[in-house]
Amino acid sequence: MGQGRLLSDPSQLRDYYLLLAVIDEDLSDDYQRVLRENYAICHWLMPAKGTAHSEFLNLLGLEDHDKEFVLAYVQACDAQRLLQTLRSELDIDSAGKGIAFLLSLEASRSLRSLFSLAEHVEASSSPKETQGLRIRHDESDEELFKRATEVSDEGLYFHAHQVLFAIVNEENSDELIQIARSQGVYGGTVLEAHGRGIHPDESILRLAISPEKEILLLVVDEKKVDALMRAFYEQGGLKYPGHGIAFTLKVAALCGWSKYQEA
Amino acid sequence: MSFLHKLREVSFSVLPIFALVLIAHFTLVPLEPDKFYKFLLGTLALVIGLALFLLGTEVGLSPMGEMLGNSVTRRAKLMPILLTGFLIGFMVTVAEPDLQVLAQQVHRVQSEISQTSLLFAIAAGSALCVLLALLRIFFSISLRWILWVAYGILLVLALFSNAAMRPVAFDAGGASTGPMTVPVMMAFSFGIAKGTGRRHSDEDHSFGMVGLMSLGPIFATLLLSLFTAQTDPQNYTDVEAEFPWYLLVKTVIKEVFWSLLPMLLIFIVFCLFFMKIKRQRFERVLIGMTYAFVGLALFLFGVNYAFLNTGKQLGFRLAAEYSPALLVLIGGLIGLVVVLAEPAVWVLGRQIEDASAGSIDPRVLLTALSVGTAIAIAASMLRLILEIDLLYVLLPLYILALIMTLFSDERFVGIAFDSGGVSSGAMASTFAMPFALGVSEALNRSVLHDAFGLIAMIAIAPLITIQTVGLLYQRKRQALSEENLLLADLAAKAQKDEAKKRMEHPPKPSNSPEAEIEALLAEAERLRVEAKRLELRASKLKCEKVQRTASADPNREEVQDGPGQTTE
Repeated sequence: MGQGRLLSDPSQLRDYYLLLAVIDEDLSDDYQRVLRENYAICHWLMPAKGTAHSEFLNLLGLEDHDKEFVLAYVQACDAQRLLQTLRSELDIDSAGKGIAFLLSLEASRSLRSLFSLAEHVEASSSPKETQGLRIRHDESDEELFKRATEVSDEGLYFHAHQVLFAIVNEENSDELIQIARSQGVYGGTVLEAHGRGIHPDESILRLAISPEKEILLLVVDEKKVDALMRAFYEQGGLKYPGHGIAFTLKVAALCGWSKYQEA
Repeated sequence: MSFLHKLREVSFSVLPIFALVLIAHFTLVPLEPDKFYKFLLGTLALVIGLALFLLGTEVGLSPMGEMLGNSVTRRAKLMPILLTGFLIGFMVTVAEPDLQVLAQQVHRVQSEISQTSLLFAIAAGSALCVLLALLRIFFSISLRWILWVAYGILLVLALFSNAAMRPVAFDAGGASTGPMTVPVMMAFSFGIAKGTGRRHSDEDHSFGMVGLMSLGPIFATLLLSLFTAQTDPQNYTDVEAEFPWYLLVKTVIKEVFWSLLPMLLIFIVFCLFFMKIKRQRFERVLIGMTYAFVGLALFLFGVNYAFLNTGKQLGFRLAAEYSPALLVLIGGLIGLVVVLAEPAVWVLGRQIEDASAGSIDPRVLLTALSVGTAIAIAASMLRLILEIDLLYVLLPLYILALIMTLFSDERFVGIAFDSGGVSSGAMASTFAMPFALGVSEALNRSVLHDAFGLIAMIAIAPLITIQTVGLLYQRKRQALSEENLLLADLAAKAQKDEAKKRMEHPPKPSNSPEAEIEALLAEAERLRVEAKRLELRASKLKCEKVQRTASADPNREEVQDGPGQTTE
C-alpha cells in the first residue's frame, strides 16, 4: 500500500476533500460532533444498511446492521487530522464501528461557489452565527501547512483503495454482494434509491411508477478492484443493458479499515 | 449482533413498566409470592419475545408486506390492486390475535352477536377501509377529507346507537390493529408508496392505512349492535382466568399459529403466481416469520402470565385501599410507561424513520405517545370514578383531532392516525384494561359503561399529541427554509458586489478562448443564482407567515442536519 502524504505543497492547502463515511448508527451522533469540532463543513446523512459477512448470516437476518452514510466536506489542511481524531476518539479502527475516507475534489467549480458564500457570511456576521462554518482565512499558508503536516500517518491508508458504487435493481443487489464476498471483499453498505429518467415512467392513474434500486457501496483494496469489476460484469449481469451501472472513485486516504475486512 | 442490539433496546423500554410494578409491589400493594414470581418470569419471556418478534418483523413481515405492496403496483391496473388490498386486509385482520378476545367480550355483553359474525364483520370493515386507503393513494384524495367524512358518519352513528355498546365498539377499533396487522399493513402501504415514487414529499402516502383500518371495526360493531340487538346488553362480568402455565403456553401457541398461517398462505400464493422472488429473499422471509412466530408467542405468554392478573390485582387493591387521587396518578404513570413496551409502536417508529430517511426521530414520537397515553389513562380513571359517559369525552376530543388535521402536514396526519391504532395494542389490553377492570370492580362501577372505553381513550390520545409534534416540526422546517432564503439572498448580494467590482475595474480584454469560456461560465453562474433567488422568493410569497428577522437564526448548526437541507 502506498504511503504518500496528502499534502505536499502549501499552495494546495486550500483545496477541499469530500469525506465519505459509513458509520454504525450508535456512533452517528459522536461522529457528527467530531465533524463539527474539526472544521468539516456541512454534512448530509443517509440511512444505510451494512451487509452481512456471510450468506448464511444474511439469510438468518442476524447481521442487518443499521448504518448512517455521511457526506461532508473538509479542508485539505484539516483532513488528515480529522481522520486521526476519528481513530482516537471514535476508535473507528475496531470492527463494526465504521469507515471513513477522503475523495479528492480537484477544485470543482461548484465547491468554489459554495465557499465564496461561506467566506462572505463569515466576514459579515458575528462569530456566534457561523458556529458551523469555521473557515479560517486569517492563518497564513505556512501556519496551515505546519498544522497539516504535524499529524501522523499511523493507521491511515493512502491511495490504496477505491470506492465502488454499484446501482442495480433491488432484487439483484444480493447477487452482487455475494460475488463481492467470493472475491474476498466484505463490509459493503446498501443505500435505497429509485430509478427515474431513462424510460418514460409507467403510470397508474397519474402516479409514476419507478423501479426500486439499491446503491451498493464497497471500499475495495486497489489490488482487488479490477477483478471485482470484471466479476460484476461477467457474473453480476452488468453486461446486460438495463441491469445497472458500477463505477469506482479513487480514495485519497482512509481510516477504519479493520482486519475484519480482509478475510 | 442486531438481535442483541434489539434485546438491549427492548430491555430498556420494558424496564419502566417493570420498575413501576415492582415499586408498587414493594410499597403500596404487595402481591402474593407466587404471583410475584410469575411476574418476574413473565417479564423475562416478554422481553425476549418482543426482541425476537421485532427481529422477525424486520427480517420477514415488513419485507413481505413491502414486496406485496410493490408487486401490486407493478400490475398497474386498478381492479387487481383493489381486490388484492381487500383480500390482504381481510386476512390480516382475521389473523389478529387480540380480535378473538374482543369478539368474546362483545358476545358476552350482547349475546345476539355471535363471535364469528362479529369477526367477519370486523374483518370486512377493515378490508373496506384498506380499499378506502388504496383509493386515496390512487386518486390523490387528501387524507383529511376522508377522515372528516368517515369520523363524521361514525360519530353520528355513535350518537344514535345503543349507549351501552359504545365503549366496547370504540375499543374494538384500537384492538383490531395489533402486532400482526401493523407491520404487514404499514409495510404494504409503504411498498405501494415506494412503488409509486411518492415517498419523500409532504403528501406522503405511506401513512394512514392503519389509521383508516381502525375505523372499520367500530363501524362493524356499532352497526351489528344496531341491527341485531333486541335485548339490553348485560353487564360484563369478568371471568378471572387463572391458567396454569402449560395451558397458557398451549393457548398462546395455537393463537399465534392461526394468526401467522393466513399471512404465510397469502405470501406463498403471491410468490407462486404474482411475484418473481429470489430464492434467498423467500427463505429470509420464512425465517423472519419463524422468529416472529416464536417471538410473538413468547411475548403473549409473558404478557398474559405476568401482567394480566397483576394488572387486575393492582387496580383492585389500589382502588379499594387508597384515595382516588392516587389512582389517577398511578394511572397516568402506567400510561407513561406502558406504551414503550408495545410491539407495534416500535414497528411504527421504524417505518417512520425509514420513510422520512432518518429526518424524523422515532424517539420524539415515542415521547409524544407516552405523554398522550399517560393523560389518556389518567383521564379514564377520572371518568371511571366520576362515571362520565364516554361520548362526552370522546366527541370533543375527536372534533379537536379533526380540526387539527386542517393545519397539519398530510404526512403527520397519517402518522398520528396510524399511532392511534398502534398504541392501543397488546400491552394496553393485557395490563391497562385489567387494571381498569380491577378498579371498577373495587369501586362498584358498571364495567361496561366505565371501564370499557379505556382503549378508545388510549387510541385517541396520539391523534392529538402527534399532530402537535407535527405542527412544531413544521414550524421549525419553515424557520429553516426562511434561513435558506436569507442565505440565498446573501449569495445574490455577493455576486452583485463581485459584478460591480468587475465593472469598476474591467479586466484586460483578451481574445483567448479560455478567457471567453471563463466569462461565459461566470455569467451562467450568476444567472443561475439569480434564478434560484427568484424561485425562492416566489416560494416565500407562498408561505403564510414569513417573519424575516434581520439577524439570522443563531442556531446555524441546523443547516448541517438532515438530507438535502443545503444551500445550493
